[in-house]
Amino acid sequence: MLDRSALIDRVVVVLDPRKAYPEAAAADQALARRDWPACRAVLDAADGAARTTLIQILGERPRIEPFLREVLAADPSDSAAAAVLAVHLTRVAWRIRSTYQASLVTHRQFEGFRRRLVQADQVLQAAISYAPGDPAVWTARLPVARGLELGALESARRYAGLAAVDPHHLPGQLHRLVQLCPKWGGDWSQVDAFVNEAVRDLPDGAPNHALLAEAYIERAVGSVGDGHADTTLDLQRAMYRAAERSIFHPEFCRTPGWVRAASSFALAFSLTGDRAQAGRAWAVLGRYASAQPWTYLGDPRLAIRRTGIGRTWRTR
Amino acid sequence: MTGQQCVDGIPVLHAETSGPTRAGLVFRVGQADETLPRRGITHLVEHLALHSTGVADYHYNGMTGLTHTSFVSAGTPEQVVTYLADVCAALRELPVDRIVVEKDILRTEQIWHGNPDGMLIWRHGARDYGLPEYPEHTTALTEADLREWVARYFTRANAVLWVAGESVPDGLRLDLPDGERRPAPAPSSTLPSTPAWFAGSQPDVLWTGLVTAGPAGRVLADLLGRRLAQDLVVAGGLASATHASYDVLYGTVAQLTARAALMPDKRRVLLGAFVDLLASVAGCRITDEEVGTLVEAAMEQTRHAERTGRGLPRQAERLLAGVPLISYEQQVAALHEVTATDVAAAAREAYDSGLLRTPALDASWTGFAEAPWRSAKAVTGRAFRSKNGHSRLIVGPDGVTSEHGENVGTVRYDDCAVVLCRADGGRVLIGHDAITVAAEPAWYGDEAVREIDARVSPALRSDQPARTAEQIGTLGEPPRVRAPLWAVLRRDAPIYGFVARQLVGAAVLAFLGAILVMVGVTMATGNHAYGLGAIFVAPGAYLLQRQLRRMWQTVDPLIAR
Repeated sequence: MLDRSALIDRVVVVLDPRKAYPEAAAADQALARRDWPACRAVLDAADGAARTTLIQILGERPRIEPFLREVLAADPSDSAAAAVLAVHLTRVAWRIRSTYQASLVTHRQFEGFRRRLVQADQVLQAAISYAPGDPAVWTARLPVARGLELGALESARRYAGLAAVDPHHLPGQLHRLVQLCPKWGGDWSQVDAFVNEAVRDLPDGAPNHALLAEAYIERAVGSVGDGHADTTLDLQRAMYRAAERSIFHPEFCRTPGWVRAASSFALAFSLTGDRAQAGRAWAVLGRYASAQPWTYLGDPRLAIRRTGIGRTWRTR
Repeated sequence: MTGQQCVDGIPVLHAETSGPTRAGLVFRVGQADETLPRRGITHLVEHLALHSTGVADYHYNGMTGLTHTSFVSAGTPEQVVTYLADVCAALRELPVDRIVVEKDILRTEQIWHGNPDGMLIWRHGARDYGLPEYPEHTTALTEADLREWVARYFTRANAVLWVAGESVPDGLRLDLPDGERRPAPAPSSTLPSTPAWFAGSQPDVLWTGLVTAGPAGRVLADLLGRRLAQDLVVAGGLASATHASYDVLYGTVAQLTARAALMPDKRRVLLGAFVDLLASVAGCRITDEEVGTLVEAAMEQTRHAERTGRGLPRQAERLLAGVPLISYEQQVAALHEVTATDVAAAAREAYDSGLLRTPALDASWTGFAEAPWRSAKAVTGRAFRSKNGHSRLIVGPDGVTSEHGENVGTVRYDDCAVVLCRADGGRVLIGHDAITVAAEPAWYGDEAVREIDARVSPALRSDQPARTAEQIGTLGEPPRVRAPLWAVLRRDAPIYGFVARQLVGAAVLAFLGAILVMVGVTMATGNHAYGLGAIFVAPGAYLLQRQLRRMWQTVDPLIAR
């Protein structure tokens, strides 16, 4: 007989983070019902990076702006609602902006993009005045600064605000990493310095080791064709060591955000061409994957089918 | 201990202090009462009133402020009596022979004053509270102007005397003409909405906000000062120096000022941190302990002011404004009752009325409104094209407009503050909203200037000396704020090409799908060939929906919602 679930596991990639994290599903359903206290209860139960991850997932739900504005009007000090709203506005902004490539963006689209980001920043600014210690709010400010092109210094200031609250906040660190890349005006030495600093003294099983994989992906995808093999060799070695201490470690914890970390390693190993190692990463992932970082290669499903070597259905 | 009595019909506030006797005669008139053609008239009167005192062996001074002018001195009771009698005598009979000399002295003094902040002009325009930032135009003032000004403002009913010393000196006479109390003008505003911002040219960040005068506003200024120093200098290392202050503008309106000087190369980040700080103070990041500490300090300051009599000038201003006097005990008690909630409310009020000057940076991302720097409308009338063809000057029956690229400035005659008339023929019209239109005969020809002269009221004219050709300068290339139409079309051509290709392709395929569906349906219903019909309908319908969706996906992102 055919084992149906095994077949599905083998063929289907689940990109929806709400399926990977039960908390996210619960919170998202509560938000869909417009039941903020229930949603908030789920968020309050999570801590640190997991909470930020859930907030980023909730922000994806369409048409929640009026509802969240009501919630904020009733209680301006609710930094979770502010963070969800800001993430949502930022997503809407980027959707307006990024459907076409930069040269194909009209003036009107750009205005709409900017307006949403300004709104998001104001929401976050107000939230920070009430809850200066909320890492989710600081994290949400990072992509806003990038979109508004406020410059490297302002971005660094905002990351410093986050680091003062939580120096190892992975969702924020991922945004910071992107900002430091040459495509956003940084350079590789800054990326290396940042990543090395961030992964130093990490405990075993921490998902933050995935920053090395992300840095490798940025290099591999961002600098096509130039001779970067030598410089990335060290990074590759560090990445292999980091994977053992992170997703392959028995203490690797499956709290919200783990799929992204394992996906980063899976893609990074795929890019090195190491089928066996990528297969191990996919064994950790099972049927789950996160759209990021696969979107670097286009449509994530197609990208996983094309380059996701090591996945069970390809090896057999 | 403050006592109140009357000398020659003028209220006298007295505080018992040790040391030399100090006294100040305060009039309710200042720069905000002037108009632009008469800018500096109060200062000139003050200089003339002090001239007769000359070189005295005691300390004395005169001060012309925004809404008050005061004559102060310190010495023995006899010296103070002599000084005040001299001032009053000079005000009764102005030493008119000194006018020319004092005008020269004022011109020299003006060179000493540095560049003004620009904050008052941007907030209030070229009238009342915006006037102090304009240069003084005393050259054209006549003896009659001065007499009229003195008769209007320097009167018995419009003055208060304060004395700090053992007692009010014997033999004190204040012989001033009768008149009436002149309330301070209400402030005008050129800002359509606040909080607002404008790009300044100085390398620091400056912000002002208006609050209701009172203990909460005073505590807020101290709080702001502490936060600025803490967040920007100590923790952030972004600013080299910060400053916050609280000044009563008039009556019950006070102005908060916050300033942060830059570390080099950190303009952007300082602006971000500064705006964050303002928002955080206006939010609720104020604790009772913090307010408690600040209130203690403010109470101590108030007690010190009582011992030294330093609060007297402020009390005199209150009396002139018709605001009830409050004793030091009452002030201390009011401070004692200030809570974090009061300070937060004041912070909100200040934030909402705020005006921010950035170090030459765009601040639209902060969500503040951009303060208007050009006129919305041009007047209709006769147009004069500049000699280099880049600009136009339109002189109409209602006003004058200059068009320099996107920079449109309009001054209407009924809303004009002054017309500076240079001896070389140049005319500069300044509107009440501080918009300036320059009509240079060197650029637009003499005809334009003649038309303007025929239409402006003589009362608005202020005659100015001639300038050299370099000072007049030339019109540069107009600044382009928006790209011209052809550039927009050329820039956007790939977008429209892409969209058109997508739409045409999708439409053709959708049409094909529709035909397939129709053929299939005809077969099924006409010939009862259901199987064959389904073979046509299924791919047809699939094609149709795919292409319709593609069309929508192409159009959807163009409609920026």
